[in-house]
Amino acid sequence: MVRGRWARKQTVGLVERIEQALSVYAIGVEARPGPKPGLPGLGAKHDTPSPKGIAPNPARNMSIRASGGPVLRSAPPLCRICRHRRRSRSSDSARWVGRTGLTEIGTALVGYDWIELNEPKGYRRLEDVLDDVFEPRAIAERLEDEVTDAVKSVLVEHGYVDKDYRSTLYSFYAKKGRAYRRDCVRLHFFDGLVEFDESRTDLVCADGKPGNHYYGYIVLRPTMIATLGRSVLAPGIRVGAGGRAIQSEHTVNVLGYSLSVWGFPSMEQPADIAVCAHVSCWAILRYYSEKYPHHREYLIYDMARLASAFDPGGLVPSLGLTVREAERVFQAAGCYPLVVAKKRAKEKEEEEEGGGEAPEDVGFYEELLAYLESGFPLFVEMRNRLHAVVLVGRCWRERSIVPTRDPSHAWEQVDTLLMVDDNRLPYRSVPASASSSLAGSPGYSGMDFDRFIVALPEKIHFPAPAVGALSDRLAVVLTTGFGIEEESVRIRRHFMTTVAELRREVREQASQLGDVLVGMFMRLNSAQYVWVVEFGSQEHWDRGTVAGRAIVDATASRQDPVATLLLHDERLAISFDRSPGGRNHRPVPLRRRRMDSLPRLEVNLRQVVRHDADGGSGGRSETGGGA
Amino acid sequence: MTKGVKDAGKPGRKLPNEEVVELALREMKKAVPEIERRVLERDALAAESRFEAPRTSDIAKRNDD
Repeated sequence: MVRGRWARKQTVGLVERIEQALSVYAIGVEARPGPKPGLPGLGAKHDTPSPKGIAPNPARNMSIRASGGPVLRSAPPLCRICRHRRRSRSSDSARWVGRTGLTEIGTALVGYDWIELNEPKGYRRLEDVLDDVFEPRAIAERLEDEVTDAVKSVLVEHGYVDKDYRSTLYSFYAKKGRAYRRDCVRLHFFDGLVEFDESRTDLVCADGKPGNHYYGYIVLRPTMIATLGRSVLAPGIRVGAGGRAIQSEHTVNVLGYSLSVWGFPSMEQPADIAVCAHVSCWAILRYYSEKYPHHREYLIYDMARLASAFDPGGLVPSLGLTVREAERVFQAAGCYPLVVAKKRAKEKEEEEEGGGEAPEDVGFYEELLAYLESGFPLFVEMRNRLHAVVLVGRCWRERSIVPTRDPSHAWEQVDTLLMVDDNRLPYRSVPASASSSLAGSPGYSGMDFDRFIVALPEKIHFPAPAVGALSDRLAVVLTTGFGIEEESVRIRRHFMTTVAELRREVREQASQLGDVLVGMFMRLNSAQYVWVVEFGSQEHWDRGTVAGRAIVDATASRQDPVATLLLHDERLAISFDRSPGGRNHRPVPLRRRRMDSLPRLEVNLRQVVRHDADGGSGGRSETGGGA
Repeated sequence: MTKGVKDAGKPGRKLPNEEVVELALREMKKAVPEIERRVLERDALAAESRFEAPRTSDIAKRNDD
């Protein structure tokens, strides 16, 4: 009897637990009640306890609206994470269910919210539809400050599974005393020509192509602080962004559409498991994995793991990385990083000895620009700020300046630099030098850079300073041999690219280059990577043209006496025979029909197309039409 | 800048194409020692500072703004 009574009691208890579990799943995660006292289970420690041990009524925590009727909403439930009153994040989902007559089936449905930014509250409506764990107020303020008016609407996708956040959740947040949610929220940004049809759960636009009106996304992590997660935004919607930036195409799947956006990946540092240096490494490697199929994808937690020979875990990642550890991350990811330092120590010594002002390390910036224009995002260290950022783009001056040096590198014509800084939304514009149009603005400038890491591919053996040295000798050939005026080789610019990219650009410029020169580019016998060296005067620069150009084998050894493949001006080209003992060097008259100047090549960086408030677009005009 | 090459004539004077090729080859060979010097200087500098790196980031000291 005793045994039977005990068994019956256990059965009743079990039934109660099952009923409670079913009621939990009937109302969705956000309405999940706390466990019944005496029934400790998974997450019991952290869930909000129900008052006086009474199981809550699931319906009390829901927003229910009859078809066309007003929203009936009780007091929002306590968040089981932060114990703040929170908004029902599935409000639209619940409304949709009410209209269509479907039964709410809890976690099987995720909600969408549509925010029109021309309404008075604008981004502040995020506070109505997001839990406090996503820090909606801070996110709204950032978006108001840093995104242009081109964005007219935001689709809020609840219940998004973000792989990067999950990587930190599984390895870090799950080990904490506080319970962290697994789901994220993704915000999608659109122009004013798209609407959200709630009854059909569809994006509606006149051309039927929502992708034409898409500006990218931001993932919000449920971490209460530093919630801005993985993001890819079109640089054109960033306040102050202009010029050209390194970008790759990212595909986004939402509501059954595959939308694409060109941009550079970024996120805010989670602060405890990864800091700015980790995030900078992650952004560069994610760009590589999106752009180049042979690079594998790494998650944010992998950055902490790759930085050392052991599993760092615990407190260590939050202390940051040294440059050597960042270099190790790139090595472990299959890249061939090169660390370049500014001549700060030597200069200081000279300054102390000479008593004068220390000269700027021009070579450092020339090298920096050469690798940036080669399409390699740069990991930049600023020692005095204990900060690491990624350099992804540059904007030429609107009006060129008279070169102050002879020869002058194109660095002198750079006005601003585009940074992916984890403290801000991506594409932050900072002054390149003291003479920049943004000089004096708060924050850092290019002058604060101390070192950079460029993660090169394996087949690069000819470094940027060597190309700079070679360009001096090639300038002699152009002036004394080709008869070009000295002024026309004064401004120099060099960057690396693949032969395939070079040929693609040449094909686009074919009418200006002429058939003979195009044919020589197409017949170049070269390895995958080449350096392009361009020469011009300030007048050429303003027109976006060059007086002469050389193509140099980027895989050549430093001792190679003939690393140059092709050298040409407007009338003549020489292709060099690099075979052992070869003497079949060929000067070829170009016989161009149009004898106007040769166009400057812009290969690796993509134009930042600025979007204005009425949905149109345009690029910031740079000197020489070389934007 | 361009010091000119004595046996190649004055800057601004166009040479016959074959001589241009010879001039280019000579200049490229001259560039090799300069390439070596610049690259070694840069490499030495990077290697020297690589091991004295401070922590590049510290959330408590984010002061870039």
